[in-house]
Amino acid sequence: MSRFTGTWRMIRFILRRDRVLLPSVILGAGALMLMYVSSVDSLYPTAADLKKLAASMNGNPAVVAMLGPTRNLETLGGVIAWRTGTIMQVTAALISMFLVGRHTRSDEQTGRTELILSTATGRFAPLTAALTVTAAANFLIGLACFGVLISFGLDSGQSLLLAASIAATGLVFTGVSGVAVQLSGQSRGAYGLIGAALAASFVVRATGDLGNGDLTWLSPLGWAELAHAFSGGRWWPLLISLVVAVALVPLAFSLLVRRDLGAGILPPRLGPPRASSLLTTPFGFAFRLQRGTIAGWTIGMVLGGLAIGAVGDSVEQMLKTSTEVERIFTKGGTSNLVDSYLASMLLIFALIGSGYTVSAALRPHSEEKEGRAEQTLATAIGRWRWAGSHALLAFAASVLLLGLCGLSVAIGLGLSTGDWDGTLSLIGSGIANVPAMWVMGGLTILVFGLLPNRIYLAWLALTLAIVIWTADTLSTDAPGWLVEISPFTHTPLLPVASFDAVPLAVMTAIGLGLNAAGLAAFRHRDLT
Amino acid sequence: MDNAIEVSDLVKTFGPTRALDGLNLEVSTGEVHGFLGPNGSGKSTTIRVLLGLIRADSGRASLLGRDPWKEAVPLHRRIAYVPGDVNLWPNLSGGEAMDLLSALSGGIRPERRDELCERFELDPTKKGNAYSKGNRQKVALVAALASDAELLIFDEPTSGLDPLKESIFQNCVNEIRGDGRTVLLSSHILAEVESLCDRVTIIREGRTVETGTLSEMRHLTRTSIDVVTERPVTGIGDLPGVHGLRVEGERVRFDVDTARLDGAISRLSEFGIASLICRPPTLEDLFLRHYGTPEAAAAGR
Repeated sequence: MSRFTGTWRMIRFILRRDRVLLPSVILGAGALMLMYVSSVDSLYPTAADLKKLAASMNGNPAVVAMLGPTRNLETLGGVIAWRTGTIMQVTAALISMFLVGRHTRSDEQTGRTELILSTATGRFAPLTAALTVTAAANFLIGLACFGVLISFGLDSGQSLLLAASIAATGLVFTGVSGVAVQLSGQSRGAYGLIGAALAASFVVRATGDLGNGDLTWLSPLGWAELAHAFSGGRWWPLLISLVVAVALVPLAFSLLVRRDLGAGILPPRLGPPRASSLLTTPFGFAFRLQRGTIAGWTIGMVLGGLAIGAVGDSVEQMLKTSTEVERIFTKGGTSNLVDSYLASMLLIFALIGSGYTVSAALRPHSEEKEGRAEQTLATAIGRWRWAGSHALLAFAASVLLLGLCGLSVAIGLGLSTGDWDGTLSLIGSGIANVPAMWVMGGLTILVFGLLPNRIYLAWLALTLAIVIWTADTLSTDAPGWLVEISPFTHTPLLPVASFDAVPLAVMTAIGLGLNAAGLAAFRHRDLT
Repeated sequence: MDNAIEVSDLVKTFGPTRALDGLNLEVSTGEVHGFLGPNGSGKSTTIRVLLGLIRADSGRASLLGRDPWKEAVPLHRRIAYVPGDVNLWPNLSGGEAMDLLSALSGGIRPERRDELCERFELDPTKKGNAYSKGNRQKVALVAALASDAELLIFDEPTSGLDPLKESIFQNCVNEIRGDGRTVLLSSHILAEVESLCDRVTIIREGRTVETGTLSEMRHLTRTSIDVVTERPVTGIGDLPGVHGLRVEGERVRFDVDTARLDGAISRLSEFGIASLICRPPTLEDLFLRHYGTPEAAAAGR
């Protein structure tokens, strides 16, 4: 029996298992592309708009680090390639990571691979099938992006090149994932390794682009960028991506045969034999379960804040490039463009950060679903204290996230302008968004307590808040009642709007009230 | 309070399913009580009611003389629980999980914990997702066994353990009995229940079908006799309570209602007993009598 026996069957099995997931992620990536392209298309409708944008952005180091060199921004294609390149490549890389991890290490960890390999299936079949399906998914993501680009009437050759550069990075990370799942014995560990590789690619690419460009040649994200879609255009840098992706596959196989089923090449990490005294308190326990998540969100919010703050100085020029953009970011008032822009950005951070608040408030739910709550609640912890600790942490960490985000915007701004006067006011502006996040958190706890089988309602509520914000921002005729029901439209955009404690106090009361009601409901229901 | 656990007429429905249908359970303080029943008969549901994790629709449940739903927290300081399917936190080491569970209950004796880790050959530094099923179970077992809980509730605690560790578990349970503490042991391993438990409750489809000491239960069932006599036996088949008589020359085999054992042996002795094998009913026989189809019961005999 060959070591590849059963690969075709495994491929069909993966397609069957992921018959909803695969189309969703592929179409989702296409939708993200569509969102970016259409926003660029509508924000800069004329050649004059594009010219103004190019004038304000050219060579700005902060944006070069974030998005790559500013090439050919006088054309719509150039702006689209520059705006979408990094984000779409990272998206393709993350999708590849999850698809490969899900069908290799996760299956192995849960013992499903053992079951598969006990049948007449070769040892290489599961990995080969996972890599094949993921590569095909990247191909389709590229195809979806290509479709989006030509639907906006862009040059088909350059559109194909941009789409291919996105798929090429996805393929590199398909290979990277294939290797990483051999190295670590746990899917979390493998995701950590891949995430680190992606972050390193980004940093190397950004450093290279800020310097003489040599380092850019060492980064997978750089190869795609160096294809220069819509700004010259050359195919051969993508060949590097392809060669690396293909070369990683035999490496993954050679690692696979050097390890036991279920084990990784790297030794498993051990933990302390004893619990610290912090861990054994309800709040410390909740913190321990969430600390990785909080650390990740903190890093993301701080980096995002720094990036926004760093470009804050040039915002005035940027806003003047387009009346449309200007209208969006001057909702809070036009007295100070920079302040107004930063306050709007902090509100966006609060909307994103609510993703943390909701997921943290849902932690008791996942503990319940995975069967660990039963054992925890058989101790003397008490339901109120157990779920309440997670809710308290979700509420407290939201303050931390937005406070730090405001601070890092101030630092970014201070470093680029030397003006540190606004520091305290920016921290305050960030924290002013927290009561709205608490409403989302309280709503989540209520769903958890009252409707444990309808948890999606919590995410639906957040999605609705984002949709309402988008509708309210992009158009002037969103129905008033709709705008009113979102907590985020009641937050005063400090410091441009005048401080009004009433909506903040009311939202805090609603958030805490929903939370208390949810905990009380949980106290009186059966554990599922 | 004489009874550590008192449950009467307990009913719990999940939608159309009647998981508990008037269940009764009494566990005296200081005893090791076996809780037997086939899959889906309601053992885990009963335990979840006793832990205050779910609320019964009707009936009465009391744990250490108190209401398990209303007074869950103070009660949980006095009990320890090991679920059948132990799920650990992937980012916590086994040692941390043990300390956590113990600290959230009534506390732990650290030297006892270390000793148990050694006896069960458990490495407490591994992360929760790196343990096998048996080792996850050991983590929960060590946390429970190292506690000073008055009442320990085990839900199929040894399903993932090897025979060696299972016998260590049995020693631990005997030590707990020696301390005068109470154990409720739900199990499928009949030999384990037979060797550990003072009394047994057998349930089926959410109802109690039998409860008592093993000897009481045996009394209600049949004993197998395999005897060789000096002279051919006659008239045994006519005795009350004798079933399944098979005569092969001097060798006679039959089952007799345990209550009628005396009469059968008296009659046999008249023919001069050369050898006698008398096998009391095993728990397995009792079990099959209550659950098995007639074929399964016959096969078990």
